[in-house]
Amino acid sequence: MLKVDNLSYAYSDKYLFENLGFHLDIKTIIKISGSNGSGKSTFLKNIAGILKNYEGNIYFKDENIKDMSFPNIFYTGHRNGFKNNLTIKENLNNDLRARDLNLNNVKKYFSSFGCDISFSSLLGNYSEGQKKKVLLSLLAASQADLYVLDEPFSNLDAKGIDYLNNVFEKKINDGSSIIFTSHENQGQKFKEINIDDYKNE
Amino acid sequence: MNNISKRVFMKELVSYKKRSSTYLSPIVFFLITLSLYPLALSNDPNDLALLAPGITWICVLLSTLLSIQNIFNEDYEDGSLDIFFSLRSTTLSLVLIKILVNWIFSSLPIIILSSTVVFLLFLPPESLTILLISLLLGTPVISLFGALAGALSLGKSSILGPAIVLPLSLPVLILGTASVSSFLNGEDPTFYFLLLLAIFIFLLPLICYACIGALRLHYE
Amino acid sequence: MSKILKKFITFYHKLGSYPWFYKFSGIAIPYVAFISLIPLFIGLGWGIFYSPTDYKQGDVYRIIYMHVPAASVSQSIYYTMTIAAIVSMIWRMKMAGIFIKSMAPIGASFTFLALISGSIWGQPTWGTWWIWDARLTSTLVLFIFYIAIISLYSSFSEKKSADQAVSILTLVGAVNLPIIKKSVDWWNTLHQPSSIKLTESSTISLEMLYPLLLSIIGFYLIVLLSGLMAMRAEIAKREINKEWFKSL
Repeated sequence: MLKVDNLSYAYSDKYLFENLGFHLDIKTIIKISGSNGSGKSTFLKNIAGILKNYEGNIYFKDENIKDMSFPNIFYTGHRNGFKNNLTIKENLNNDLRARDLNLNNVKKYFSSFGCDISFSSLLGNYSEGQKKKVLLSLLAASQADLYVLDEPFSNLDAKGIDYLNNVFEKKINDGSSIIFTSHENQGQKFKEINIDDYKNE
Repeated sequence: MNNISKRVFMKELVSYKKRSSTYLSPIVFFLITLSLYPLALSNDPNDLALLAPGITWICVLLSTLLSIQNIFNEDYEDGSLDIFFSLRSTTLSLVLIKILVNWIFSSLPIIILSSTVVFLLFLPPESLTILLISLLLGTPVISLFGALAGALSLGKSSILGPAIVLPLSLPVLILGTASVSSFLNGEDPTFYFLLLLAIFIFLLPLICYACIGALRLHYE
Repeated sequence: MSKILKKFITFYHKLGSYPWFYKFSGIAIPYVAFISLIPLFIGLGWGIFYSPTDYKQGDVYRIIYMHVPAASVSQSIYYTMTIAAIVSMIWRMKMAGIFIKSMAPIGASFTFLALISGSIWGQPTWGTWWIWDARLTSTLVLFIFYIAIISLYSSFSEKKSADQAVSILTLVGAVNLPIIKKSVDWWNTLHQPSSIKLTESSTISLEMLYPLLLSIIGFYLIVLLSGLMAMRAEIAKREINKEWFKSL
């Protein structure tokens, strides 16, 4: 599904990580861990195509991802393009990632995440945790081959974390793969890659 | 491809509609600067009529600049650009759509509003059409330069925008005002219109690709 | 032929290497400094003290020994920056970015000198410090362009991105400068038509022309000298933490 081959990324002539390589199979989850500033988010941005000036290669479905257009990859980052002055409905309807989004579906996930908010109110009225749940509901309702998620577990309450684990399971059963970053400890549930191991000091 | 372009377009439309300041502040700015000239120069109708094309053009230029130089900033800060790049669509469509929507919401109202210079600055009414055509042909070029300045100085609101846009806009300003004054002198302004159009057609691909390059630089 | 080409290519590759350039410029700077001073002193000294007085303008015309060379280099520097911008964008040569960054302030200074010396010349000759004619206006625009290029550096934290952004702006400017020049040509000019024509016989006397040519050469060499020094300084600034620099 996803093959990362000898990936290195330098910022200001200083390498964040070097010769990073792994293979992500279909229906699997990989967790990227590492200390603050180790380049976890940068690495996800390399995969997502936001930062393209990396060395090495990334293959998605045996094709070099650099030359691909519209691979079915769902990316969430630290910032998600949600606009505070739009309503939740407008934000979801106009989200560029959501193809054929069914709003009723999203609504269902809202309550599953323990999030009781109205579609027609402005996004800016809600807390970071609630915004996170909006984003994760969008994620749950979407269909992508690969999910590239930057810190999906942060800012979530216990119920949210619980349900996100459910969503992960469901996505895997649907045939997707997930790669995500986290600095929290989820136990031994996921295959883990520590980006600090690819530092060359 | 078309699907994503359409989504980008719809999102732009919705966010412009929701943020009234994006189209109201250029209008206010335009009217205020326009009214400064009679106060500062002269209220004599004959003097003003002579200066009207130039004054209008300067006011339109400045208000267009005001609205366009930050077109990429919000998308950069809230991560919309990240999401867009993650789709690996062509950035050209994004740049074109953003410039187009900005022009519709910010420049078009000002162009329509500039009809009022017939009353405010005593522009001879018969030359109004010429002024409007010159504005319609000239403002897209200014939008292009403004977008480039915005892409280069992304994430910073600096004096850089005007420093880049204003010198580049000199030809547009000269040709735009020259078209009206030539008409008032009884000449045919078509020559100037064609030149304005030629400048736009020549610069459109060039500036768009420069914009894409400049945007990408902030993602390295 | 292929030998020359090969030599050129190795030279080009060497040019792109920081240590080589740093070493080379260190050797070259004293020579260039010495060589540039000769035509500059002779040209300016001859022009100011020994060349004949102009029968129309009197002694004030002698400012052309400053003004004309400054105006000439101010444009040439932009042309060289344009070439560097193309090189930097196509081949991503780092040295081209350093070249643009180093030359922009030099270009701005000489453009400023041309503007100032022009208006000092204009006041006694034409009775005005400034006039909105084509040449003055486009020189002013050129000056603004240099300033915009210099100020663009501040909006990037990453040096490589800043170099690329400045290359884009330099190129857009280069494409637009002729359009701007053409469009500001609408006004009639008070300015004298250019007195030096390299191909035709000159309209100024030879006693005036020789020192002028010498000072133009001197100015170009001074630009070369300051360019080399600025680039050397810029390399030092960027590479201060590198092994090769520390081992010097």
